[in-house]
Amino acid sequence: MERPIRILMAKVGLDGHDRGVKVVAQALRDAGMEVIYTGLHNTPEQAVRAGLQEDVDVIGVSILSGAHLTLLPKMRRLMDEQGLTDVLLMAGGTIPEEDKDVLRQQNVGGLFGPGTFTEDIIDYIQDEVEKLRGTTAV
Amino acid sequence: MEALTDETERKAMDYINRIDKMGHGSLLQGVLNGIDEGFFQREIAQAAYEYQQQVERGEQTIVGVNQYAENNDHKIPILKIDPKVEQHQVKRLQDVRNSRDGAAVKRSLDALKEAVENEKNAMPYLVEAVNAYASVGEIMDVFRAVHGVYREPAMV
Repeated sequence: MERPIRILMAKVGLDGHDRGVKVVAQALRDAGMEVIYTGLHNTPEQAVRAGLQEDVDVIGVSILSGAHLTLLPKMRRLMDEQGLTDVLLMAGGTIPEEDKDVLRQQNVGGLFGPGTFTEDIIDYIQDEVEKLRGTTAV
Repeated sequence: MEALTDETERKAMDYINRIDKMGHGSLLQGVLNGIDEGFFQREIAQAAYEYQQQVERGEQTIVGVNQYAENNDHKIPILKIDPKVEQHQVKRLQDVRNSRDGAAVKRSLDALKEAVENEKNAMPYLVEAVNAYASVGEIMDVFRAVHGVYREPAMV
């Protein structure tokens, strides 16, 4: 059987709102994924290191602080530098529409806003991981 | 109405009794143990998850989200902070650090550390440190060095 999807859920920066990230984490776990949650107040470096150590398919960042344009591209860069090019970086939170294109161009996916149903997030992750595994399978 | 009030009261008492039990008869100790063990965080997260599931199943209504939701392109005016603000503030801090009396800052922070370690009233020492132009970060580093930093148990 294919190994379950492993995902690191991270809060980075000073943002202390963790209701959403915990709801999503539990929904993903109930959907059969292996979920690791970092807790609050991580630096991008800490979150990426945890993702590397945990050998995850996905790093999901919850961000409601407004610092998404600073933190997310930085995380993508760190991930690429560490060879995590086949790991999906995705985010959810309060990200204005106009910033989403900027982030997508820098290979940050997901970008789910308030009101998103957890099943839509689950579908998205399953599709993306399937694509990523398809391209890197030996 | 009365029945609902009774029900709420009963549920609240259930929690109070559980917390009391966690503290082996002391409510305060129960609360402290509960925080250490992540009891409150877990209860809140569980309630949030159950609520989200009810919303997704349509058992809870949020107008505009799962009821009467319209797709429209409302332009929301967003306050954007120019990144220059950060550079400006960093420069101001550097200017302060360059112009203040470094020895006085060190003295005030050492005195603060001594006071915090010995559980004295820290306020006069804080005022002293601020007057010497110690930064909030430098002052908080003193508390962090003595007490450490609380990290919530990360669990889901």
